Amino acid sequence: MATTSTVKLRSGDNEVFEVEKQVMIQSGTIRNMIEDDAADGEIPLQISSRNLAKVVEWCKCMQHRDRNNNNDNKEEEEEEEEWEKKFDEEVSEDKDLHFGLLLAANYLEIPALLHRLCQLAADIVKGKTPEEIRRTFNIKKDFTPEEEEAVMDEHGWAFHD
Amino acid sequence: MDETVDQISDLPPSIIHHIMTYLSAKEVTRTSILSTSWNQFQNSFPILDFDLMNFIFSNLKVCMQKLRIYVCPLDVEGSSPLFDKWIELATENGLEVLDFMVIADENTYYALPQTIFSAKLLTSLKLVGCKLELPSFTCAHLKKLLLSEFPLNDRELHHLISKCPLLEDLSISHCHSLGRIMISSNKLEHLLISSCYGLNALDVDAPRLLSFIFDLNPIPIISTNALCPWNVTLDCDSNLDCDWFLSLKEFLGASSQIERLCIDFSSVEVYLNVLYD
Repeated sequence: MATTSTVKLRSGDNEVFEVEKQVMIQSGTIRNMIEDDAADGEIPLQISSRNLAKVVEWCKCMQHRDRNNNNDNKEEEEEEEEWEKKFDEEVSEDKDLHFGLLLAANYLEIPALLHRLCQLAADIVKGKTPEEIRRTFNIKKDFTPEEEEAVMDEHGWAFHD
Repeated sequence: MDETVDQISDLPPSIIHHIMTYLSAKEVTRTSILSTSWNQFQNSFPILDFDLMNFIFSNLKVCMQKLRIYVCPLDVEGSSPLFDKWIELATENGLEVLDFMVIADENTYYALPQTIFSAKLLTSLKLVGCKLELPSFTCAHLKKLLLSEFPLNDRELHHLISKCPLLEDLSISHCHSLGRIMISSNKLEHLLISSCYGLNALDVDAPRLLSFIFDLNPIPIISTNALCPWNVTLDCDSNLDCDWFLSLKEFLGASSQIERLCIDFSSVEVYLNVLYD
């Protein structure tokens, strides 16, 4: 049986985060470890300390929100909304953070975080021309002229309004 | 942060596909032009989004065993190119069962492309509200054929059946332009003829027939070689004169096994259980 109420996460650059189990069970990966009693030592993760800190922060905020869900505390509610808004902005403007968190949320199996990050990525793509999308994400157009023509033949309809 | 690295394209396809779920079908399709990786992401996107008129799943390489489409298009002619494309893609992907129901105004039918007969594995075809140019080649595997609200004449039906040598199950309903139905098959096991209001003659030569349902058609002149039990429902709102009775007697006389006979006299239903040796 697990005896402590916290779990220790070690980032890829060797920083250790001690977090309440109750917070980290939002991660399917860590929940499984806790249930298998495999979470008593430090859990090494291939996630940078910067990204891991952000994941932990997000999990704490969500757990706090869920716990207070039944309270009608307007002030706290506004605070949480403010935090989420800031999170969205920060992630949308910082691609390193955004993609790092996407991989982390995917690896740690945190569905709500993954949904949020994917939604934010889709918001960035929306309304942009292919050239604008390429510029935003540094995507290199690597088609041969023949390949490009074949794609246009196939999907031409989607490029007309 | 390195501003020249393409991080998004290095994400696992599952995450890219997750992002795509927040985009419209059109936006997803547009990503195919970004790069070869994105063209692959788009092609392997596992969501079929039926976005009314714009939905086309191109380059689909999946095993599509059954395709069932039920549509009520406002403009059948305008939608036809799209329907054609769906069927073409389905036939290229190993289609075995096609149910295609087009519910539109009366006398408006979707003209099914000949491509459908090139589906090599097609065993079951259920068509409602469609029309068809007759196949010039054989539907080698077709075992089940259902035609409803289908504008075809006697000769065309005969031709179609003759091109389906393995047909076991045939249903024809609401085909009002049929006058004489001629069926000759030594494979046919189940036959249903229903609500074909123009029917006046029926020739069935199907020695292996196991069931025959004759439902709400006028009483035709019949010639039959089918030993199975018959299940007959007749709707009588016309004059019940002597001629009607004689034609009924002759029709029933063609069978040695009427399993169930139901005659609806509009207001009064009469059930007769007729047993023969």
